[in-house]
Amino acid sequence: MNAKEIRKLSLEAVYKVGKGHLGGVLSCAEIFSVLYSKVLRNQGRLNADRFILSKGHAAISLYATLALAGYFPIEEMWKLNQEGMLGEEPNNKIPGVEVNSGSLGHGLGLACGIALANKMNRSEARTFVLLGDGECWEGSIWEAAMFGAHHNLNITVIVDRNGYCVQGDTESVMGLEPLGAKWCAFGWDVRHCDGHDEDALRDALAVDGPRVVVAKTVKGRGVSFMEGKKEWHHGSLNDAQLAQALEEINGNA
Amino acid sequence: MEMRDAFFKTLYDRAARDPSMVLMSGDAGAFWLDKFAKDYPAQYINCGIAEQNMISVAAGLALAGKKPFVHGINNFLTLRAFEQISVDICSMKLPVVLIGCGAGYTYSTDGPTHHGVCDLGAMMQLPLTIYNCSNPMNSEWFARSVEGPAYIRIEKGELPDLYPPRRFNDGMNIIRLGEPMIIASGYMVHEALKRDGGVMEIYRFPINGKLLAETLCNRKSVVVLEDNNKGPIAQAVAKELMQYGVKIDFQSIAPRDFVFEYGSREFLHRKAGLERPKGIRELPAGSDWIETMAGTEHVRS
Repeated sequence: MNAKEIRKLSLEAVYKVGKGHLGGVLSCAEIFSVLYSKVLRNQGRLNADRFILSKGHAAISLYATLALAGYFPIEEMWKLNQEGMLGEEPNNKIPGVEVNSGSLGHGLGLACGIALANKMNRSEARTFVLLGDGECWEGSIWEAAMFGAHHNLNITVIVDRNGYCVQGDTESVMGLEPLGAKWCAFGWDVRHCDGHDEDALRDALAVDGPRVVVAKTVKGRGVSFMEGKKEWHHGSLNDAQLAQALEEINGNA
Repeated sequence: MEMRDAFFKTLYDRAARDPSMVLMSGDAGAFWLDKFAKDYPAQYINCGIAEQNMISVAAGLALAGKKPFVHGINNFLTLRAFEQISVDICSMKLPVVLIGCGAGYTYSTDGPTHHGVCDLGAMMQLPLTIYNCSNPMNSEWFARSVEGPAYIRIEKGELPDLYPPRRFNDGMNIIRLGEPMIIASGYMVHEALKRDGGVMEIYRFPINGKLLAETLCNRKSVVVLEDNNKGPIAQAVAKELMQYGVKIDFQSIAPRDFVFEYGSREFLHRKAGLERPKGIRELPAGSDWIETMAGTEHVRS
């Protein structure tokens, strides 16, 4: 599986079912492809590395990744929000999904609990969490950041730094910068990288935590008319838009 | 013995047998809790004053196979972290046990920030089991047997035991016969015993509606006496009685608002209007009630 396939499957699913989250789904395609094809170990075993999707509204690209990795049939994608098992926010009854999410600010605390249990059990398993950048406004993230650093937990946080929230760009709504310095001050080892560069992501994710990878991404990445447009946070595609989007993705990545 | 000590001593003994048990606290102590922390440091975590994270961490521990018990002052544990409890614990049905100290006006001189008058009603909206301790004996029993997701409400201070060991029915107990039958829970059971009439304790929620209906179907009148704002226990009792078609005189006594006055618990109860309100109709005396608590099979058809 690769980022191109994740993007195409996500777009086709949203097109078929009418509407869905798009901007933040496209921004983290490389993050998912690197995690599931190169980083996560021992999947399906007791000592598996675990991935927590804290920004639940990126569920569609997680589903696309899991479907491409064989956790469930690709046909489930065509039933998204249509009385199938997949909805806009994930739950842990879906094969491959670790936790219920959708309310922001919970995932890092959950990851801290999992990583603490691993530490108590002397397990080498790693724990990964994907946060949205706007999600870092939640106070509970910083409670968890203090906890994870204090207990020196093996957690790798990836912040999908696409720069946009629902109503605009994060810096004009409530400035997050200097985001890396904030994490650093909370006791985390911080790396910045291009969130669309798979090699850079792989390197940044190779080291045990507590580590934060601030992945600079573009909301709507890969589709010219969606890139950096907050209007595409959630939306629907017509025939021409889908055709153009797929063509660009095929040509690009 | 103090209720908290009875409770935490039982958890202490349980932890010795079960290494998967983890006790967490939001920087709130008690004698036997502190002893637990000292003797089982690998099974104790002080999460600091950060309840939202504490609940999420507990859920994460449970996802990884641990059995977390999470202790804090009622309001901060449940109301502050309500959504974490709802999403992280209840929606995933995880075996986490919440222990809230400070039911009702336990912390009578600390004001509404510390009065546990909204937590029970709030937690009754969630799919978990609630155990409301009225005395050291049932707190021990809950500590020994509880499985999460659950919320246990305990008290600070000394309270007498109410019944002989092992006399527990399915979520409720008749403690004294009489008319009207006063339904109470937790500390308010002791208040009910100071009044005329029968006393029935409900210690587990959701209420076993069938048993409640069976127990009350031949009675004339019931009074629900509670220290929870707006009377959530009365609402739950009334719902069950109506659904089971029990016709009975019904009275709810509960606080309507926060109390910004400071004094003894009894003083707070007066200020909250928990003495018999003016205008309450006289309830009939005497009883032709037949005890049906022994079995749960005979619901009135």
